[in-house]
Amino acid sequence: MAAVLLADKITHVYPSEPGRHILRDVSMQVEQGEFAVIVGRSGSGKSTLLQVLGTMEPLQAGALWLCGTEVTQLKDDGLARFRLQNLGFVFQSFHLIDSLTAVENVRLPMELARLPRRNALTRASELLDLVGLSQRSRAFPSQLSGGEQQRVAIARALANRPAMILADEPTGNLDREAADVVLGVFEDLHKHQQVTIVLVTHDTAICDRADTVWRMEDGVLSLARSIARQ
Amino acid sequence: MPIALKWSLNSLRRRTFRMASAVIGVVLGVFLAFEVLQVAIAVPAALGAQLQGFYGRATVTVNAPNTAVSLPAHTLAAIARVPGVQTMLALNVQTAVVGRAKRAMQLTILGVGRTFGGFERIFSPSGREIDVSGRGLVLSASEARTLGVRVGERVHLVVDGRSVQATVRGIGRSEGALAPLLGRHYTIAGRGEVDAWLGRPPITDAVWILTRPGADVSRVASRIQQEVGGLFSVAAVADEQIGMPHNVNIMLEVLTFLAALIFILAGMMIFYSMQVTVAEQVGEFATLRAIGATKGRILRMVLLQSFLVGGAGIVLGLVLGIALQQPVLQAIDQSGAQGGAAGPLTATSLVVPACIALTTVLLAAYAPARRATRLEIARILSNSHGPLAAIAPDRIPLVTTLLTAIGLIVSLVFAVIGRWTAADGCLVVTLFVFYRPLLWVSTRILTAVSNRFGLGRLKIASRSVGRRVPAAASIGALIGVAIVVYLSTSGIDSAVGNALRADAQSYLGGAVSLTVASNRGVSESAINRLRDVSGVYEQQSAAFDLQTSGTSAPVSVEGMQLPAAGPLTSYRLTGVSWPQAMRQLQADPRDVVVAQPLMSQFGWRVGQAIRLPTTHGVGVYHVIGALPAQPVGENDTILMSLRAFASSYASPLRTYDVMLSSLGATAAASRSLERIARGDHPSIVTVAGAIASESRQLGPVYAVFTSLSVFVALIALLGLANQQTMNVAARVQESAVMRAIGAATGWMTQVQFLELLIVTTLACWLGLLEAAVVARLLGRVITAAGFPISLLLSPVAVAIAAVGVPVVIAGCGALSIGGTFRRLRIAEAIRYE
Repeated sequence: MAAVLLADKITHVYPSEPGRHILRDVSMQVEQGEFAVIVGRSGSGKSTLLQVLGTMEPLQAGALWLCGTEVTQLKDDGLARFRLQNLGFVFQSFHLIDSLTAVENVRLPMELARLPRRNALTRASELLDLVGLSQRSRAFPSQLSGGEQQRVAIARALANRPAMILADEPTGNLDREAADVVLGVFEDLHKHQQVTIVLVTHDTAICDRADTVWRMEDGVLSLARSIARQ
Repeated sequence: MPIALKWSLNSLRRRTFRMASAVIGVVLGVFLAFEVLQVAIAVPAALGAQLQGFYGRATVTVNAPNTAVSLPAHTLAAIARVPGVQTMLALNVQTAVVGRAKRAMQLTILGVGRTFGGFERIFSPSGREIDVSGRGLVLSASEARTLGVRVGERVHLVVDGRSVQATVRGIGRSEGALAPLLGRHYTIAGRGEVDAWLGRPPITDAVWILTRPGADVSRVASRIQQEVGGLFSVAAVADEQIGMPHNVNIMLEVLTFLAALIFILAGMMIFYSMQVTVAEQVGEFATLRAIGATKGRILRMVLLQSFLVGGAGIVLGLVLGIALQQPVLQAIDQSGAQGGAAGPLTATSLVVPACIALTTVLLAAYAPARRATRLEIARILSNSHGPLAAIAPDRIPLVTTLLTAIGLIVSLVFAVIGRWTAADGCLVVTLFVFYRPLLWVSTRILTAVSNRFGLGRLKIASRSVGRRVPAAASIGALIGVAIVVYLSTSGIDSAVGNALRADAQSYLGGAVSLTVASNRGVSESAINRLRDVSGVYEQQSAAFDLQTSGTSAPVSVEGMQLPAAGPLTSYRLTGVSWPQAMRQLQADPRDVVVAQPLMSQFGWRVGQAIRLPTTHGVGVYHVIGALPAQPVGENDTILMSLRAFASSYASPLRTYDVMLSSLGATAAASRSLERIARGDHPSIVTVAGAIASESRQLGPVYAVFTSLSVFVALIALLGLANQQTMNVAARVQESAVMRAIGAATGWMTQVQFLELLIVTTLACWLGLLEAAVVARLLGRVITAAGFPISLLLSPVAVAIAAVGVPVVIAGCGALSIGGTFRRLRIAEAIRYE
């Protein structure tokens, strides 16, 4: 099975705290269709790792291959195009555009990718249907509950059929019920659509749904559990 | 609709007030630029049409190159006989002496007018003072052009058959302080030359020849050259040699200045608005970057927002410009110039303002747009305390600080070496562009003070202010502009008034002039009694002859043979159409059509009954319409039927300029003249102050300035109110938490009062600082233009602006906010996100 993500000895230090290593020689691999979860306490560096893996934080040391591309070779706009085509993001705070409706938020990445308008509309409707929000497509983020907003964010992340979805504490701002719905969506995506997912959380209950569980402690990543996939 | 466009529109909609202010700025700028261009097109067209109607198009100028030799009478007569020559106007030189020669200055040539004096200092167009203490001439630029001479060359003058040679010492603004208003030109000569010329015949240095319609100008010019011989030559052959009337030029300069000022203001507003908008939307931009938007895409999205603002402003500005085109031209008409009819829309008038506005808008928005592309995506998206805080600077970039320091140092160096204009310019740029380090320092000082003395409320307020620095700077800039515009209004007003009085004083030792209109055909002896009025120093006269309409008979006007009055119908009348005017003039001999300048001079209006001198005493006439300007010169101003004219219902109107010996004599003399006008000598129909007339011409300009000042000040005040409203709305949750943990409404209101006080004080102080620098700069420019003025705010005004305004605004704001806090539902607000 092909590796969608291959990180080799990634090290990261914040310029404001030069003595403190946020990531220490982090190496990991995620394969096509895998559901990987990274768990750890607050401040352990797991979100920073996700940002580095998502090319939002510059790589300081080590190497990173995403979808077979060594992303260290790419410049700023090149990275943006790479993210547009290959990665989907789901954030803890949703980060939807307040002035756009749910369907428009989902259409946004497709518009950035210059997908024809009609195709984009059709796909956005399909994606909202997929996350169970087809009835709320014309609602603005402020009119949606937290769980609904996060599901819109998941639909947006899927817009350009990315090779991998990176989710940073997607249930962190949700109650248990809404969190279950959102995790159910991730699980469905993984099982039925074979979407590769890398999810960062401090909630160990999520680990049961994952193929692979990584543990982050003080910037050091270790493999906690792996289930052989067919 | 593309999502990027929708996003931009929604973003603008959520910031309606801020963006509306920017749109208004663009609207005004486009409107004024449009009017400038339309007036610049309409006025020469009107003048050209006017002259074409009477004379044909072409003009030929004859003079003796590099000399000021008079064209002798027989040569003039020979020119007049050349086929195709319609009429000739002799250009002449009015001469004034440096110093206070009083009567000696009246070397009036061809009886055109009087000369104002007071030429103590003469400046070249570049502002260099010209030494005229020795022998030599200083020519006005137009004279130098006509004569074809340069500084340092000797000119040969023939005065009364005697040859005089003089060196041109300078070519400059020799018109004196009044000239920009009066449009007159002078040659300034050393005292020796003037002494030599006194009492001598005038010098005719050039002749302006207008050809008949359809005449072959080259052939006419060639024939004239044969007639004038070797000494004189045809200097210029042109279709038109019509310059823009001076007061139209002033109007255009003022409009251009205003348009430029407003474009700068609009640019600043857009810059600051977009800075704040980008700061507010930083989370959205970071999200877009995270999901794959390139920097170019973000740049275009921000620029699209400003483009929409600019586009709306351009469309509205052009619509406003087209709608108000006619009133603007009428205002120019009323100021005594030929405004002409509203011309057809030209591509230049539409495209140029739009391009300037668009460039301004995009340039202003470019820096904020660049800022939106340079985000630390990961930091912003993982930040939980809001996008605005994420971008609010904890420290100012080193480059900005360095540039600010360099700007201040360079400005100081310029000041030390006496280059004040450069120093001011440098300081203005530094303050406007690199304002943030200065405000950052201010807020740091406040925080440090509050930390040291443990002032809890002040500490909270000053820390919050740090996030509102761009808004404070924006409002400060507006306040600065308002102060500058206000200072300009009052300053220019007093400068012009002072200059008028100074000129008059230097001429007669203190004088104003009054215009008395009378009948020249009735009682010359009665008119002579004007001299007996106490305080009257001297009088001069100018005739306002009559013109008939609808007749083929030529009417003599000041020695020029005019063709039939038919071409007059090519000018649009005010208040009546030509066919109707013709009918009424023929039907009622007491109906008249009056030229607008005369209407303005005597305060007449269409529909009004006026008193005119007649051969049988004063007659009452009814003004049925107005000509937009003097049809030819200053002479034919009243149109009446041939029947009325021939039957001596009216006699020519003559005005007398009565110079008074002192300013103190004005009131008494005016009363005496009025008494003569009303009682003793009924042939005198009215008395009007000439200085008042000049001031009236500038009235619209002052009105525009004052309105602009009030407008900008209002925008600034509204901006402050808007800022505070946004601040409270944005922090409703924080306020609710404070209430929940026990903060009293009064305590929170005090915090808000302090916060608003700091922001308003910063804004007002910045505004005062900017205004002080810009006003000094402007004052120097106005002084260089011949109106010595120092634009300074009084200490009381400074105190009010620096302390009074912030306290009042903060007090009012705090009262309003206190009410908001009392109405706050804590539980609901805490849930609110």
